[in-house]
Amino acid sequence: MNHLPEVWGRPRNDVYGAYDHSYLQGSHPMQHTQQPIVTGTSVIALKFNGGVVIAADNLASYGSLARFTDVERLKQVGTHTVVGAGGDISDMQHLYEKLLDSLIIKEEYQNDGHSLRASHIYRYLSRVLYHRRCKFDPLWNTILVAGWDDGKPFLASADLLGTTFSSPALATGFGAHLAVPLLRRVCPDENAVKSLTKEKAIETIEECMKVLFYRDARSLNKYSMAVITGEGVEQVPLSGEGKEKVHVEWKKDITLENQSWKFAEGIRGYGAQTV
Amino acid sequence: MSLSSVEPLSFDPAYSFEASQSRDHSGAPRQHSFNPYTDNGGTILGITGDDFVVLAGDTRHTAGYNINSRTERKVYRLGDNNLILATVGFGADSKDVAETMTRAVNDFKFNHNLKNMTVNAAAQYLFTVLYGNRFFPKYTHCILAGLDKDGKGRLYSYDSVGSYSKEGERRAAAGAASSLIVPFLDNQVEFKNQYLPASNGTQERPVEDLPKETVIKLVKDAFTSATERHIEVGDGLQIITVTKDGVFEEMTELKKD
Repeated sequence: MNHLPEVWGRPRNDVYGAYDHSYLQGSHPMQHTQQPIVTGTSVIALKFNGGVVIAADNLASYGSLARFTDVERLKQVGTHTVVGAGGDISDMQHLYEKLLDSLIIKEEYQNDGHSLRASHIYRYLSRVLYHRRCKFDPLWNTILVAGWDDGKPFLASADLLGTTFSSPALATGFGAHLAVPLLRRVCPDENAVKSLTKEKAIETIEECMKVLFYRDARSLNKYSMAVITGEGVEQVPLSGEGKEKVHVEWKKDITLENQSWKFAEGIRGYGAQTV
Repeated sequence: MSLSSVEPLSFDPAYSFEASQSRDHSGAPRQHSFNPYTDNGGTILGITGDDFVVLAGDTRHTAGYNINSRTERKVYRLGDNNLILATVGFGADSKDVAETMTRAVNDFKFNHNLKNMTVNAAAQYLFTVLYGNRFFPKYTHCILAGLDKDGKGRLYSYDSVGSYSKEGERRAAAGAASSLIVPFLDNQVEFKNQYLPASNGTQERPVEDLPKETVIKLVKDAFTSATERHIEVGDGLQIITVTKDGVFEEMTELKKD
């Protein structure tokens, strides 16, 4: 006999055969994702006149260990959209490689000239995230969907709870604290989008990535950026339907430049020390 | 005596209860650290007149001390008739309820020979939607409004599991700053604690339906006051008015600090 009361007096397998485990199902909780393990930090994005720019660094952390330094967290989905994900990397890979890839393949089976626009991708992703939170089995991510939709730039956010919102300047994680105030300086509302140039938007995003590298301990000085630009709606003859021209420009493995560290040479001690 | 009889039986892989070993020693099921709810702030408010109804909500969407968006609307038109719904609380649940209601109102039209859902039918349906999630509630407070068959303004407010008053209400407020707004509406819409001058506090001021212009003014005053004293209220104000002539939306600014 052992010390575990629950096994006392059970019929012996060698006499009565093995216990039917199916009776035990549901007697203890299913194991779901309870915390993120390998994580990505902020994704930041900004609308400008004629498009959206989105960026995320290439780091996947394992706690405080900077474990993988060559991870692409932005993904082009179809022709109109770039999705960026922060949070758990395995859940991100599930979203990208299982759900979004097969979504695009299914759409292309139709071969009807129609392609999924940014709002369609966003709606799909936000419903998946909300559905999973309702099953108590969340995908531990915060995502930004950037793209071109119906003649306008598109930018919106969704998280592991299924919370959705949209704004001309968005950032996830640490970026919500550090980058959003900087982005809102150049783009406080939808009106400001109309007067914001692509060059100024890219410059602002680069500046934010630098601030995030200074202040976010789980960030990296190597990042990717995608610039989605659309050219309004081009009229297709006969059908009268509009066809959008969307261009996605990728910049990968960007290294942060012009960092300011020179001032550190003059710092001595924590108070009275002078040498 | 054979040695096997003193070995812990659970080490035998064929033994029927090895699964129970994976539990921790307290024997209690492990708690999920995942919390499926959050609060996204915001406030909504509704007031009825005799032949109109007004629903309003601010457009700030928050996460703790962060502002997610300054332009996220929370008052929805349900289909193309005179039904409107405002939802506040947990943003994801709120939007899901609004979507469910929109679909129900549209389906009703298709299933009933293009007849529009009445406001009291929509009110009863919203109860079933919310109560249907009784044990995993939609963390959202709803205010539903519309015009009834006689063209009178109707207003219903709900808690998160569906309780509502079938008679409807004259005014309702919900969300972050409801405790700031409800006392004001009690006084200015229901004329509570107001007495006729010279009656020496014996004759209450009679309750009457307010004109639309007065109601809009009260709504704006309620929200500017709430913006001053509640950090989760601000940015923009969405006011939807339903009259027999249709549904009108007005957007105004609130302080962004």
